Amino acid sequence: MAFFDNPAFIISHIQNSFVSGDDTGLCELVIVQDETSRRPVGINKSAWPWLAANAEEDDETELAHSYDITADSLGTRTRPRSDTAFKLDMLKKDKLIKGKVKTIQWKENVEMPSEEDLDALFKKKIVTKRKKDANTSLLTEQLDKFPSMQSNPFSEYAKFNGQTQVGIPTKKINIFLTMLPEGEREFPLSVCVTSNAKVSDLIGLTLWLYSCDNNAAFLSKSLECYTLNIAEDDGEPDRDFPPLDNRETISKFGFGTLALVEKVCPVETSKSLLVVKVAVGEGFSMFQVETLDIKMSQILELVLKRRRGMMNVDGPCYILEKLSEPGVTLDMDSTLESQGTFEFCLHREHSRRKASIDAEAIAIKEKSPEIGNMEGPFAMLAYESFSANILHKLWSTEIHLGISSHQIEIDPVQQKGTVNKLLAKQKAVTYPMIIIASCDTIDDKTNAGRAMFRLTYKSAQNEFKFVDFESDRLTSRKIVQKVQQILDMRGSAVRTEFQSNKEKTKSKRSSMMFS
Amino acid sequence: MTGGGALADQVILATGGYDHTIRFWQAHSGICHRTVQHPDSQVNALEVTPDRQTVAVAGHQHIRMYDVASGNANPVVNYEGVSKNVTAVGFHEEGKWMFTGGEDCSARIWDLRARNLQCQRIFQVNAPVSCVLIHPNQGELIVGDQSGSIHFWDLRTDHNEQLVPEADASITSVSVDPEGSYLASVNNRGNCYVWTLSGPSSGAAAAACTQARPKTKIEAHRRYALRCRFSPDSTLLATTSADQTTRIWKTADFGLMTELKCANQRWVWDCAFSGDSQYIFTASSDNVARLWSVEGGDVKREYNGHQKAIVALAFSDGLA
Repeated sequence: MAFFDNPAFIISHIQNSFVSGDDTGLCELVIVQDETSRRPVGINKSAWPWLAANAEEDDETELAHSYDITADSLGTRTRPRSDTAFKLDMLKKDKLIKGKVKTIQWKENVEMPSEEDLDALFKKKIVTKRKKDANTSLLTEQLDKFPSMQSNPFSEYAKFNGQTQVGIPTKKINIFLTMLPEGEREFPLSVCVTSNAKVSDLIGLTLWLYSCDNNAAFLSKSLECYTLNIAEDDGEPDRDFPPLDNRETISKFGFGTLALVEKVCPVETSKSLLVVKVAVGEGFSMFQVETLDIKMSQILELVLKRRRGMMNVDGPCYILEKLSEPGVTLDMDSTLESQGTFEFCLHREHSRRKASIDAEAIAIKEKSPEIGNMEGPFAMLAYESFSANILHKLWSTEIHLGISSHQIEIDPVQQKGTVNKLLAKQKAVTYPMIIIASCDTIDDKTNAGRAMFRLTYKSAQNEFKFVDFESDRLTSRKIVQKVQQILDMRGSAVRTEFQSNKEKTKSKRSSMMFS
Repeated sequence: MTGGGALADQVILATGGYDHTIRFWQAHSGICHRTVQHPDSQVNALEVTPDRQTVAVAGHQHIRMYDVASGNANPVVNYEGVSKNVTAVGFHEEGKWMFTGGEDCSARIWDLRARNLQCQRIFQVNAPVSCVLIHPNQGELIVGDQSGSIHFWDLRTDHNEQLVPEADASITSVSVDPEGSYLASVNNRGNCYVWTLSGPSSGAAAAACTQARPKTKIEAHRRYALRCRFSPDSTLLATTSADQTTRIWKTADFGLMTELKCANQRWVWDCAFSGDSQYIFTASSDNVARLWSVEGGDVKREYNGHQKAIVALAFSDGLA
């Protein structure tokens, strides 16, 4: 018996194939001469030392060592089953399945059933009017119980779920979700995906599967925020390789393990920032706008459109005011950017605001005198990412500033030009919030709506150091406000120290001035 | 037959179409929890049996019944002997018999009782049958065909009458509201016709045939209308169409209440109201089934998974 794991057989087989397949006879000349001179009978064991283990098989190998034996006659493949046998097998299988299926055949020309049967089967009943009761159905109850499923942005990727497909090739991949908290991210999600899916589809499917089983409120709403990376078996993403191309089909790759990595997502955050809140009557209308260049008249239109039907709307009768400045009608041709706030109040011309709105406006004013509080205080603690430039002595580098309640991350943005590449040696840095002393706007008056701000922190050498950034005025304000709020809430020792230092220098200065 | 044990408190949603599969969904989450193959044929129509244990699937030359709850991937019962596509399937409310309609120009009654006395009956018309419906009185079938006729077939007496709402337009769907007061039909020109039904109100006259008086005509859609369905509380009528929308009409005055449309949706083939008439499911050629709020007209859930057009859905709600 010869196996294909027997090297002696394979060598012999290759030689035979060469010799018998070559019409010129040259192969035979070379191989036969060479072989016979080196190895008179069978295979020379000293030349092929690993064959010693297969010693007991050698007799059979020698039998096969004939140049007349060709590949076809070796019977290396299992003989294909005949069509008849195959068909019979299928029929047998079908029969087995059908045996379990009760089949009912239509009978032609059956006689009219008896009167009894007709009465039993087809007697008409009187249709009664239903009581109009206000019962809710089970479906409504379930929908109310799981309202979050409605907004799941990944539901469209469910169609790539191989587990719910039959008759389509699928692929099973273990995916580690690296953005999960410790204790969860060590366990991969086993995803069965249809082979026609693209990498981006697999990302969507993974997020869908995860969000189905878990409370996934923290997941980003956009696929753009994630990449699939090659990973070790323990789920550690291999940073030496670039992430898989989103446009490639997944069947191209042979990986059994991948890691889903969250990246900083500038598009998403900059969009979600622009939420305009307008007080109307007793309530608020909130909506997103695409750009800061939007005119106030367009915002008015949006509000009126949103509120149509709820109130008697006649365009020109309504005006917009800043929530913080009652009585000052806004210029409809001015842009949102020029207002410096996202909170407005809508009311009829020549009428006064509702007292409740005024109360809120005052409350907001007290809380932050400069800018209206755009979101709740807890939203301020959530992770947010901003685009900004870090300022060096001679140049600036584009970075992403990720701010959460625990730390501030500085991530450089990939630069395109070669000059930028040379200059941009910015490394990714993370400052824990404990060492941050302050964040202040230092120059708000530069050209083109840009503003500079300074982040002061305590270095490992116990010195206060600072980094300067620059961004558009609104983002700068948001960053400064956010960091300040987080610092206020945390109340760290570093901050107190920095502030008392500042007070001291101030009093020193003033004492110097007056003395 | 009464609701079967554990299934009585379950919401059943099944969809089927051109990809030769039937999918069972968790209606509130949009998760597909089971897929069964429907070999050799697309799915033309789906219906949950009155005992809520099985789903009947009308396909090419077959009606197959699949278990709802078990993992059995094969049908439990297979009805055959029909020569062409079966286009409609439905049940007597107590599960005594099943009715089907098909392209072989006939409507059929299949005896479902456990006893082996087979009572099979057939009603022949002159054109392929596109829809069959049972009157709430459980004694009449309403059969719509491609020549544009609607037939009332009285099962007890075998007497039949017919209506032709519009010449040279084929009937695509018919519906009777649960109170048995209105009949609606839609045709391939997008028109919807409504009749007032006057049935016997007392026991003595119960044998008489239902009479239909024209009530109104709605130009419901610009293109092919595909399905019409009254809501369980009889206050709404939904019509679906090739114009990629579903429209919901109030039965009080047959005025338009809501139009359900979204960018991706294509032909809307089928629809089903929730038990309390608050929501409606739709099945579309874009491979997605959707759940809409009737009041708000917005999509509440999407059911993604089919690889080809969904043309049929079956839904069975439960009262909370």
